[in-house]
Amino acid sequence: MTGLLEVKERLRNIYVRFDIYLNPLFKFILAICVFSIINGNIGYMRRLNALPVTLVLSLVCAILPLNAMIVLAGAVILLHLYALALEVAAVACILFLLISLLYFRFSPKDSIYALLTPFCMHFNLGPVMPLTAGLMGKVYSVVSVICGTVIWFFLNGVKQNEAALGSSEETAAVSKFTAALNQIMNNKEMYLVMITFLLVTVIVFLVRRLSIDYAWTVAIIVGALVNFIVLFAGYLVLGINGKTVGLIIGSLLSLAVAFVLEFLFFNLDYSRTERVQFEDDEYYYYVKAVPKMYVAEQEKQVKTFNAKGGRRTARKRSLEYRGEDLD
Amino acid sequence: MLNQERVCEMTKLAIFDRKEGRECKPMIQYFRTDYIGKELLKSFISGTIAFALIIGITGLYFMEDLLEQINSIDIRQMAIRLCICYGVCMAVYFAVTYIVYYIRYTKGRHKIKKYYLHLKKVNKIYHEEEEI
Repeated sequence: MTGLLEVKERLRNIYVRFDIYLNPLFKFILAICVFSIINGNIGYMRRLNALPVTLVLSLVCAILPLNAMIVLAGAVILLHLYALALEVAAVACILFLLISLLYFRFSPKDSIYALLTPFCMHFNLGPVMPLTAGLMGKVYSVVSVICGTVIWFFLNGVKQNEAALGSSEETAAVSKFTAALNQIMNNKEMYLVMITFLLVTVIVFLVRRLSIDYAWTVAIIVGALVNFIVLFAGYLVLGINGKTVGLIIGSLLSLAVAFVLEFLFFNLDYSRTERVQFEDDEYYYYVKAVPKMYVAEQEKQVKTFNAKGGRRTARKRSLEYRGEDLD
Repeated sequence: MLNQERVCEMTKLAIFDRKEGRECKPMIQYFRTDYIGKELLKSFISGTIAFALIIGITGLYFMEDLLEQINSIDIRQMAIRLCICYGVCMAVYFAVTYIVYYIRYTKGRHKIKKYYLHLKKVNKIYHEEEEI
């Protein structure tokens, strides 16, 4: 544990020293991942799939604020969907507009959750986002997570039905609209996941604020269990098969990621908890102070042992002291 | 020579300017009612657009049913229902906007008060330095 804490401190110090370079670098890496996943899954416009385009877009995202990445990702998605079918792009555009008009107007900082949720769900790590929102955000951050969930299910549905949606046969535009909307309106699994994420975020948020020891750990475990039980029961009720193994693996991985977050952002030493009571004219105070775990980074001292050089230096110093020349 | 206390205070001011200054700017420019009124107006526009989009998309989704029942639909009744729906949605949206921006304004004012305290300290230190 001490070794891990030392590594954490070292990482923190590195970040503090080089944050001006590291922040754009992280944004660049995230942007590359986001655009690569978009191009890999719904890359219907071939010109956008080219590596130089992805790199240029990622570079732009590295310089601009995080919300610009969301706008650019949305624009890339719309262009790809436009290449598939105009109707699908129109539905996606309406969906993005609704999300931005109704929610991101109030809470633009939370939009990162909407970007990361489809990203995590792509790697079967969906529960990471409600756990993270509950641990590190406000309770209303769940709306962002839900927006991200809707976007992911919509895009996944489009990908699965790309043959039907992109067919050049003279299918009526209305039926393409209906087919695109069906990815959201009639998707029972999406509603199940949305309800689960809502429950998980609220539960994690409430538990981690309790005045109990290991509140974050308890919140993570309870959240992961609720996520697993509700989704498992929901899949059974809805008759969705073939999801159990993915659900177990995803839950375990999400649990691991949540514990890493706890280690990085909320690492307390409960064995040294201080409880004090005092009063003033108006209140009686029951104070519980829990110290953070902290290990100072060991400073390495390098000593060079060189007998010949050492003797020579000693001789030089002694001659200098006596005011004589070396030769 | 650098006055350490003044540098600390000025750093706090700079951090506030960089992080929260832009968000808190309207709290200096507007009274509470004006600020909330401005946001309610924005909500009216965005809410109306969002409602129109939802109605449009729902209409397209149920287009086939609508076309089948086009002759039996009571258009007046439908328009009244739509208006009631719009009214309810906007009322909820306005309520959320009012609460969110009321809280935001109150918090912003607290932050600005702290900012002014730091500003006063800096001024005081400057005066003291000038007197010396």
